[in-house]
Amino acid sequence: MNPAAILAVHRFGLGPAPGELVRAASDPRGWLVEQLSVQRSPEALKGLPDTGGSLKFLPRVLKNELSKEIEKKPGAKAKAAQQKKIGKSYRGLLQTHVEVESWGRFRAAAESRQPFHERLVRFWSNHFTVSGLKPTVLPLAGAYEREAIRANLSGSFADLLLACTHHPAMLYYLDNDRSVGPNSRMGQRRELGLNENLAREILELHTLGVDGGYTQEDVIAFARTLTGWGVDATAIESGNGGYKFLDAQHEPGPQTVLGRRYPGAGEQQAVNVLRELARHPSTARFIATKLARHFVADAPPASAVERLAKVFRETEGDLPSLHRAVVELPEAWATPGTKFRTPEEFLIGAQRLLSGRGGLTGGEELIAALNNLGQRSFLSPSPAGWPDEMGAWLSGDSLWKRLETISALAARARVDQPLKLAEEAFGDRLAASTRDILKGAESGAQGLALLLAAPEFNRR
Amino acid sequence: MTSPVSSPIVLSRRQFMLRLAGGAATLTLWPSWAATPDADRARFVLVILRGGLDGLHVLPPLGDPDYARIRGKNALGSGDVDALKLDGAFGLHPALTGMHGLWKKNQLLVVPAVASPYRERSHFDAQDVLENGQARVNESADGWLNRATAALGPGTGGDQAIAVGSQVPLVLRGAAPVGTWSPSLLPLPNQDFLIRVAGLYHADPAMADALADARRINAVADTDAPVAKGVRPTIALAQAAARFLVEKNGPSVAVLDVSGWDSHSSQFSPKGGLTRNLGQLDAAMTALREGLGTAWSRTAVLVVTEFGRTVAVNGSNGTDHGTASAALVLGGAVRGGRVAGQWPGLKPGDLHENRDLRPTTDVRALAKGLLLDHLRIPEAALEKAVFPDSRSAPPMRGMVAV
Repeated sequence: MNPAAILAVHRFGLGPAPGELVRAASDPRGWLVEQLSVQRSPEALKGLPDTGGSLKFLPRVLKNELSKEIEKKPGAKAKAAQQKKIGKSYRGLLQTHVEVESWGRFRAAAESRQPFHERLVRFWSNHFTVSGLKPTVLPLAGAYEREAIRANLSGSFADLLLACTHHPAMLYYLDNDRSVGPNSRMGQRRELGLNENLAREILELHTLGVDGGYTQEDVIAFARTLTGWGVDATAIESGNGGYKFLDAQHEPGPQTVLGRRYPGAGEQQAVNVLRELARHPSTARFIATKLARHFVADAPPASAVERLAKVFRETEGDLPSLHRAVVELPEAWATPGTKFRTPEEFLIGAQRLLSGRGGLTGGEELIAALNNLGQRSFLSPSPAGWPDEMGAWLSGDSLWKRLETISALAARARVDQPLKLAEEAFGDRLAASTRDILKGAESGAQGLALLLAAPEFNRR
Repeated sequence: MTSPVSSPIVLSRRQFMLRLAGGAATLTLWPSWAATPDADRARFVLVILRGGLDGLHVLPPLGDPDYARIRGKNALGSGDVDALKLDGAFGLHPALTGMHGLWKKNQLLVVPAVASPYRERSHFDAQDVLENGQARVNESADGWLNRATAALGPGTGGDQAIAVGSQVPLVLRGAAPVGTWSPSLLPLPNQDFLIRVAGLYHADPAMADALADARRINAVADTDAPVAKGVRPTIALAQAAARFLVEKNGPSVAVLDVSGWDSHSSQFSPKGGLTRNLGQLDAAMTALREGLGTAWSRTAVLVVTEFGRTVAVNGSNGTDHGTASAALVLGGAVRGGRVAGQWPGLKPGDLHENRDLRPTTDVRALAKGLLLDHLRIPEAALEKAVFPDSRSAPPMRGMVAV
């Protein structure tokens, strides 16, 4: 079996699904590159609500809807009971929504014949993280990933950056909806002020990086340009909610960011800044480092970073070119097994491996498993997203939880020949010692559990 | 940054384990209005002990002087630990007190040197041969007990057989409809699994360190964490099987899938894993008997394993993969209180490949005898469909009261 195909499927993909190694065998690099062009929307995501539909799950919107259906009785006690009932219904509906979204997302990855593309969706989604830890974001996270990220991976980084910054999920998450220019119409009337959060995180986490060469003054100036980027609250109930430029909140006048002057131009002002940030050499380096870290090693080799940064600069951030450059990194093909699979990658890999003979069976189980493993669905801990280093995911406690999950999955899967499965999935990458241990397992279930616990399965 | 708000979608760990266990799986319990237990029809329960049961330690040949010689202080009876007496020749492991009671009531039949036709030592392949009912590995994708169930004729519309404790094992796969059931809390990773995982990580220091931390934190000493209300897992399986078997129009066949018998190390300690597992197996059989009530008199249970273990003790105070092992037949329908099959002896010339107990009974002969005399499956069907090409293993007759 072609070792390059095995590496391609594990390191760049999501772990082998049936038949995948055969498909990748004749030209592993080609198999990866061709996934960059054909983008059918995954079947598993059909029927999920768009941003407008998801906005109807905002706490105040949905609770308002629910309260219309409740019989109003007078008195404080009755009112308290009503609120409790509304709260309970709201939580139930939100839970279902999140389960459906999580399951669709998981299935899309588990069933994908373009697993490299799925990896890239997740990489960029994590890079431009929005987190459901903020209640207004949780209902939107699924639609955000579909509309801002997934739909924008065949163009430029600048376009992706713009799409994410425009999306209500991002605007809510980083508080830009309440950022008001002090000299805007609303600012003058109500003494509301600037919120720097979005501007800072765009500079620190999305583009230049923390050492990319910006100052506090740049943050403030940039934040001013972003005022007015908000959400149309009036249209939400009708299902047409979404991004809207709110001129009344926008800080008028020119701003200087990173030494460049941007004349006052309403919404276009921040667009111009964002395009400049996308072209900045620090951005090229920052993105290159993150990509190399994600696909090659926790401490990415300088040569890989250099190569990717160069492609970024020379193509002005063309994402397909950049992604192809990742595939062409010799460093990525040299030493497999340097990266540790996150809980999500682990579960997707197991689902693909088991393909119908076991695995998770629905959103509720998925959420429970992700909770147990410490990577809660749509709930990344901060705007920096989920960490991309082994140290964050491998500890005594996290390994124990992973082994628990493995025991549970293996006990109810139907795999009689785990050694055969291992050989098909890993070929020569299966260590002789692992092979021996699998051979000596006392039952099919234990053998499968050992395979899922093996370093070969948990690293890529 | 605003402070994190707790999410409404967090489940506790216990809820997680429940979710993953899947509770009542594919089989719904029959409605309780059909409350009259159906005592009349014959019931057959197959218990598969996965891992390779050490037959010598379960059914010690007390009357064979070579036993004490070979097992030394680990020999039951003459060594450190006593044995329950059956007849002059054989004893029973002291943890099997319930089964000893059955022996006294002539409801336990023991067979000392049983094996399938398989002669290698791989768990998977041996289990495959044990379950597919034919002489070679991967010979069929269905199992002998499903083919036997099909030969019982059409049932009353529900599942005719049920697998308890796992997804449908090979022995029950096939054309006849079967159901599955698992207890609602799964055991935590057990000691045996963790030892093997440690082996996997010998060349991966990061994972090895994490595992060492995990084991220290969780200090797993108990192989089998108790399920709800102190009920051990195997017992829960037996109780469930009994419930299904007594229902009117319920299944007549059940399979209990019990793992954990691969005793490569420290198998002789009175407080060790093997002793505990045997105690739980014994308690499970008692629970089965009690759950079946009056149906016990029409029940036969066959307890088998895929292979036995080495006669000699290894360097870790355990035993390695062998060949022949003991099989047990118990039930109210069984003509017990006796030893069936020949004792091959333990002299060097008596052993298989100079290391294992030599088989003198083919496991298929036991199965055929029970299917023929107890479930009344016609011999022609047994030879043709259930156990094809098994002329070399004629059915062992007379195990049940006809």
